[in-house]
Amino acid sequence: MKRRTLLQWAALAAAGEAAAQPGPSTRAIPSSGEQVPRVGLGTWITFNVGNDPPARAHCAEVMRAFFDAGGRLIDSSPMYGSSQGVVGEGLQSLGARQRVFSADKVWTGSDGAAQVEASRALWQLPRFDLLQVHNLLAWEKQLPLLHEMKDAGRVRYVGITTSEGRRHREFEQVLRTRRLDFIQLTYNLLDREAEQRLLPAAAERGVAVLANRPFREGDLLRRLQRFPLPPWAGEIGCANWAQFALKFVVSHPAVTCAIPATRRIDHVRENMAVARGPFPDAATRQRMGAYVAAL
Amino acid sequence: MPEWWTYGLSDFLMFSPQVYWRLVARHNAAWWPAQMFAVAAAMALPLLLRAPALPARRGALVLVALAWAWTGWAFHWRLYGEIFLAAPWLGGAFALQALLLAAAAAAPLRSRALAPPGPLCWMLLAAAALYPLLAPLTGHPWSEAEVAGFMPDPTALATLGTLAGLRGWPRWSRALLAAIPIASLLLGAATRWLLAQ
Repeated sequence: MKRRTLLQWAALAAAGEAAAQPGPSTRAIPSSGEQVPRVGLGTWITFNVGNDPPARAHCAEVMRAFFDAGGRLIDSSPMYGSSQGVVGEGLQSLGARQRVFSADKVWTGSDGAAQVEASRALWQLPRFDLLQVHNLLAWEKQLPLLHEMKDAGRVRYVGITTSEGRRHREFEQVLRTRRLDFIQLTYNLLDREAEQRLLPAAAERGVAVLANRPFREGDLLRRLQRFPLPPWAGEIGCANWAQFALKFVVSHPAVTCAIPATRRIDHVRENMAVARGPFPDAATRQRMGAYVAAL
Repeated sequence: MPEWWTYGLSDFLMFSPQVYWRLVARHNAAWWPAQMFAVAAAMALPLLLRAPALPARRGALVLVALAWAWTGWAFHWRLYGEIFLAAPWLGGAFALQALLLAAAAAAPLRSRALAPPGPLCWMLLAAAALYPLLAPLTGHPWSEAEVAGFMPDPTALATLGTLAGLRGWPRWSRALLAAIPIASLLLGAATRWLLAQ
């Protein structure tokens, strides 16, 4: 990687990080300067529990632990089954509607406005903070709709998403040619393709980045747990592989927030502890990647 | 779906194993002890298929048609749809299968003495009857047992057994009636496999 790029990223990271404080470390959304904690909460699979009251109550407790630890950004989608309604019920029961940074998606080739309204009703919020075109589905149609909604004050930020490395070329084209506040993509210790073009492009364009699948839906941790943590993991505040993997993701200078999904309260606390730093510098990140690649 | 070939089977599993089995337990608890009627109906199938007269076989088809209608509505439509976006479509397929089976039961056929069913019929019916035992055998509580007439997989097995023993109906019609049950069984097997990963 070129030294100039490294310096640009270092400067970006320094500008985005808030001063050390008791809460989690934050990063700035480039288009507004608003700070968001570096670790959020995803809801794919984990919050899709149906209409089962005990399971829904448990999800609310997971959210409580998340907010208690200083978390704010929760991400969901109409394609996540009952997750949106479970989040909405949790926000209502916890009285956290003012606190949450709500990120949702539009995932349809037809009436995006109707879908957004249905999602909003499930979240029980007056408006979303962030709406994203899910996996670029009908983005030519849905992105203008989201911009209209933003101009009308019905959403604060607009973005696009991809996952597992799909459609990166088209994704980059949209990122480079359209007005976006956020992108969301897959980034973790093993899936690092985004480092080549998308993360630099986001930094260059001043676009915030949400990193999904930081643990590859648990598959990454199942692989890593067969091996010992490197002895120097404690120096960067990592007590286990999950923290090691998440620390790697959130310490990339272009990444604004990672959104691990979990249904366990202890895992939420563990994830949020990652956002309290210390964070690895570029050399340590390189060492982290090399260590895992050699396993 | 764009670039559908980049999606693996696991990308379509949008719930955890715990949530799925909890759903099965909730389904059983909601209708208990109605499962006993379903077991009794499943026991009646061999008797109806062994009888040489056509009306008894029509009765067997009516029973499995009711099982498809009930499973489609009570499980797929009403419950599975809570966690699986495609479940209402599965409910529709089950309703269609129920209609096809009902139409076959009412089909005008020449009344004649019918041969008894072969071993494939008995094997499939036995598999459907014993299917609930899979729960304790795979480490699940009885509350998560799957009973024919309530859950898709044993219902499909019982239906295929019935079709295998259905003398008197044209072969092509029995093949047509087997298409949705076979597809349902394949989907069930894929789901079980993914849940076990």
